[in-house]
Formats: sequence, structure tokens, C-alpha cells
Amino acid sequence: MTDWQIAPRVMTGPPEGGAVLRGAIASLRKRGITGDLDPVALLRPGVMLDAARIHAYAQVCGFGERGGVPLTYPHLLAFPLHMAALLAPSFPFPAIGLVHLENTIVQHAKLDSGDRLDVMAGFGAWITHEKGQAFTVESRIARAGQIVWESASLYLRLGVDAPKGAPYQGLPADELPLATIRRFDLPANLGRRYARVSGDSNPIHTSAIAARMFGFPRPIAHGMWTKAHALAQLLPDEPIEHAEVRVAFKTPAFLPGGACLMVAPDSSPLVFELRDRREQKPHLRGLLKDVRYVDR
Amino acid sequence: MLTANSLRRVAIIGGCRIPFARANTAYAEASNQDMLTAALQGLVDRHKLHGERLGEVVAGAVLKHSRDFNLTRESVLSTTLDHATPAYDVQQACGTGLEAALLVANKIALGQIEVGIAGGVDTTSDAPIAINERLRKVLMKANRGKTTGQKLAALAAIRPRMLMKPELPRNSEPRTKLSMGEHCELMAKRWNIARAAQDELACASHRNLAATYARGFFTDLMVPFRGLTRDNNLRPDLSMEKLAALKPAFDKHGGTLTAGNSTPLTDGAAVVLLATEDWARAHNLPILAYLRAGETAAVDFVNGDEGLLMAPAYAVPRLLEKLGIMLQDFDFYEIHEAFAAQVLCTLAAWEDAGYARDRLKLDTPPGPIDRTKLNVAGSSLGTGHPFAATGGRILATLAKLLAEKGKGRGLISICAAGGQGVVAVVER
Repeated sequence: MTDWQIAPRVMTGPPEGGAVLRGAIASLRKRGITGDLDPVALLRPGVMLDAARIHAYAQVCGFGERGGVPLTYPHLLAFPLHMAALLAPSFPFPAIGLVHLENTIVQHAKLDSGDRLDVMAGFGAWITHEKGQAFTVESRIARAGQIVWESASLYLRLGVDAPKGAPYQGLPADELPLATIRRFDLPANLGRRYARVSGDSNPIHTSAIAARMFGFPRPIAHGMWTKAHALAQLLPDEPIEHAEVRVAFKTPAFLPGGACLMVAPDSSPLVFELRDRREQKPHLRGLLKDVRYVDR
Repeated sequence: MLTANSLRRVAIIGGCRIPFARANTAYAEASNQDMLTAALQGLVDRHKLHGERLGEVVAGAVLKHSRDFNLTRESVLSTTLDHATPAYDVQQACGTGLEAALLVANKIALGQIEVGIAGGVDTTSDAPIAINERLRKVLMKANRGKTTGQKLAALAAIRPRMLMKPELPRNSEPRTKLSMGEHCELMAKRWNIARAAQDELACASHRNLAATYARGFFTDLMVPFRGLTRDNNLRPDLSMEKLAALKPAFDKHGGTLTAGNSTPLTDGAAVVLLATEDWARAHNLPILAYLRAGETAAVDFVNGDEGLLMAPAYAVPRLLEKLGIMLQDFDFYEIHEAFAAQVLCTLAAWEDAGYARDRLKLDTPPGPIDRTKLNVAGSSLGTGHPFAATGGRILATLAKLLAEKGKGRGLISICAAGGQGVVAVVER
């Protein structure tokens, strides 16, 4: 588990694409028998919130102009650190084949483009999952020493016998009646468009051939896009002071395709799901709470 | 813009519509222009307007072919009106017909014209189907090519797939991609509108419409068209049992809206003749009623946490305040039945003190209405709902109801796509 008190390892820039690919392939040799999670955090100091990149991201995810920095955007700043952590020689599993189970984001203050942020990431705890070994990668983003944004991504390595850690606690699955509030198309080029703005160029999202190589009949939408798009629909187009959103990724959404956004009306925290066009297969289930706006 | 010495009252002289037909039935081969022309000619015949130059004819259609850019003017040219009668098209989704009437009425009131016709038409059977966007772009590029070589090079980008995917008009909101039924289902859930209450309203609509046909009320408000003499959606023998047997149409699990308590896609046209009292007198035409006032409203259904079809709930109290009257000061309420649930949500909203305070910004809610005065001659659940034609149908029906009664006041409320609403007050 990361010790946030000890000096982090500083990353000067995001890892270059070719290196990520080579590292990912090399990591396939890992067996995951031994090893503990590296306690040293990774740090990207003084990353600027770039207005042009935010705009491009907002366009692809469906966020409006007035809301400023989308709640999910800082994830992109931490994502290179996630990759670096998962590709590090000391990490026991191959990066390829990890299943992204959950992502939780808590924002503590309004963010503005131009802000200089210190972005840190490190491993959280081992978690015992019925299908293998789960663990979290945590991100902490600070502005002038104050933590303004945090996230936890839960990943799963399938097929590990005798996993370590506390048992996995899924999202409460109470059967609230859900109502569809939006429908939308998932165009064929969605994976490529999101890859361009996010830097997450995992080929299962961008290429039909690669998707088939990894056992998917078609490319699948980025989980973080589905989360971002759901939030773009659920949150009004205004700057956010504080919000907390936890989602579980359920089943892949194939591209091209369609989806609908459902909510449990008047639920608190707000329960929402992204499902397929026929409102059957859930892609994403989430809880949104403690949303506070700047101007209210 | 006041062109006369003072404002003039706007008289409703008469109306004419063709019977409404469920989509892909009697009017499957009829175009918007065919139907609008038939309704206009029916009005001209009945009021002996042959060769008469009117101030203006205003109408519209929600689903329109690109060739119908001058739909109303082209229809006027197919009638026996003086072809020197100007015309223009309007479009405000299901509010089109009533909005057209307000536009004509305003010009009459201000003295810009003496007489005009307002109405609307719609067909979902002869709907515009466009080529898909990618093929359209290729063809436009080929069209811009200056040489044959450039044109052919552009056309080489055509793929067989493009030819197989026409772009169909969709009955869904562009911003949410939800159908109107799905939106109304959300409203029904918000206001806890029971299935049985919706079915009862549907039953009453068919029952009232059948009774109104039976007493010959519609004879001078309609003209037969393509073998129909009355709306073919009407089911005089409709029962609560039959309605109860229908499955939810929009939300299969736990939904309350069905094909029975929602309007079907419908083809039809309706127009209304409006004029000054002097014009009516000079032409020896009796006045049915007066169009007193109109109001439009819109709600932010995208981000505003408000139902798509709730705008009339806002428009009516605003208009009442301007006129200094109460919601209870009416003899007839004509609330367009897009869905039974829409009517019931609106009525529930007007009785809700919290809603009145938080949303309508009123100290006291508008309150309940006498339900025996609601849609007494049947409404859209019975007749069907050719989007732009509904305003003309309701306005003519209400004017004649008031003429029959001799004296009174009626309210019209019509919800429309895009979170809009058009309402009006008619008096005699």
C-alpha cells in the first residue's frame, strides 16, 4: 500500500506511446506469484489544466462549455501514472488483461483551466474478489498543497488463487425502479475519438481486429467515457464545487451501438445505470452524491 | 404596428377539417398539400369565399418535405380563393395550428388584415425520407465539382452501405433521443398518474367524440376526404376492459402509457376562418366566438428537471393573470390529449401548492377544474393527432361549443415538442 508520507518518485512527462506498448507486452511474462504493491507514490508536479485539451475532452464526452473542468477530466492527468505503476517491474501482474471494475471520484474544490496541479498516484490495498485478485490504484491531485481531487480505480486480475486482502464490497444492488432519461448512439469511431483526447489508446477500444484478438466481437467503449458521458447528462452545465461519484463497470458496450441512461428518480445518492438500447444489459451502475455548485 | 384606429376583436367565423386518419390507412397516399388543400377548399366552399382575396393564409406542417417549402401558398393556389391571397408557413411542433391562429388573430386585431385563415396539416404516412448524411455530403461535393473528372472523383466515394441507409424522421427529442412517449412516461411517474385514470380519460374521449358525431355537431366543421366521413381512430365501443388489456407501450416494466391512452400517429388537416366583426357582417357570416388571448411558454426539460410536456402548466396561469380571471372561470376546457397522462399531469400540477410556489411562482395554486367541462366533444385520443392540424381542430370545436351555449368562455391548452406549450382563451 502506498505510503503518501514518503517522498514520491517524480515522473517528468507522460510515458511515450511506444514505450507503453513495449512495456505492456513485456509485462505479459509476469507470473504474479510474489511481490507486494510498491509503497512509493508517483508524482507529476505542476501539470497545467490546459483549456484546449479540456475543450476537446468535453466535446467527445458531451460536457457543456459553462461547466468548466469536467468532473472526470483530472483522471486523464493521473492516467499516465496509473500506466507507469502497472508497468513497473515490481508490479506482479501483466498490465494487459486487467479488468477495470470500478472508479470513484471525489472533487473537493472548483478547478479552473490554467491551474497548476501536482498529480500523484499509488497503489491502494489488495482486495479479495471472487474471480481473482483485485486492487486499487489511487490518485490524489493537489493545488498549492491542498488536495482538490481524488480517485480510486479498482482493477481485477482474473484467475488468481487465494487472493489477498479484505473482501470486495460491490455497489449496493437494491432494486430501485429505474426510468430512462436519455438515449444515445455509440458511433463506430467513439473509441478512436476518446483515445485521441484521453491518451488511453488501448487497441480493444480503437481497432476491430485488435478487439477480436482480445476476445471481443467488436471494439468496446472506454469505461471512463461511459462514466464521463453519463455524468455529462446527469450534471447541469455549471461549475462544481464538490461531488462524489462511484461507478462499477458491468458489461462492455460494443461499438458501434447505442445506449440509454436510466436513473432511480428522487434517489439519494442518485442511482444511475447505463444500459444497452433495450434497457436490459447494464454497462455501468453508479452512485452520485454530495454535488455542490459554485454559484448556488 | 397598430394599423387601425384601435384594436379590433377577432371573430372565429368557422372551421373546416378533413376527418383524421390513422397513419398508413385512408390517407397513406395523400400528401400534406393534398390534405391542406382539401381542408382549405372545404372552408372556402362552406363560407362562399370563391374568388375572395383574403388578408393571409397561415398554416404549417411538422413533418415536411423539402419541396414543401411554400406549402401553404401552394395549397392556396390549388383552391378557388383569389390567387392574390398571400400565405406563409409556420412550424411550432404540435403548437403549429394554434400558433398560426394567434399570428393571424394578432394581425386582424392590429388592423393589418381584415380576414385570414389559420391551420395546419400533417402526414406520417407520406413522411419525408432523406438520404443519409454521408451520401448527401458526397453528392453535394460532386455537385460542387467543376469538371466531369472532379464530379466522378467525388462520386467514387459512394459505398453500397450509404445507399441502403435512408434517414427517417424520428419522433424523438433531438437532445435526449427519448421518444415523446418515454418523456411522458417520466412525467406520469413524477406525478404518480395511475394507469386506470389514464384509461378512463381515453374512454371518455372516445365516448364524447362518438356522442358529438351522433348529434351531428361536426357536420359543418368537416369535409369528407378520400372516402372518410369521420375519424377512423374513433372506437365508440371502447371499454375500460379493452384498454386494461393493452401492454405498456414505452416502459415495458412498470409503465402506464399504452397505445390506448396515447395518441396514434395520424394524418389530417384543419383550418379556421378568422376575421373582424365588420368583415363578418359585410359577408353575412355569423360569428361563432372570439379569440380573446394567447400565450406561449417553454420549459427546460433538458437540464431543468421539468417534464417535456409541462409548458402549458406555466402558460395558462400566466395568461390568466394577464386577463384577471381564475382557472375556474371557464365553461369549457380543451386540453389537447397528446397522452392522457399529459392532461392528468397538467391538472395535477395546477392543484399542487408546492409546484405552484416553486415552479409557477404563485402564492396559491390555480386549483382544480370541473372535470365535466373537460374535452366535452372528445379530443385527440379519440380523433387522433396530426401534429399541426390539432390546433385548428380544437379552436373550431371550442368556438362552436361556445356558439351552441350562447355565452361563455373556453380554454385551449396544447403541449408541443421541445418543451413548449401554446394556450389560448376563446369567449362569446
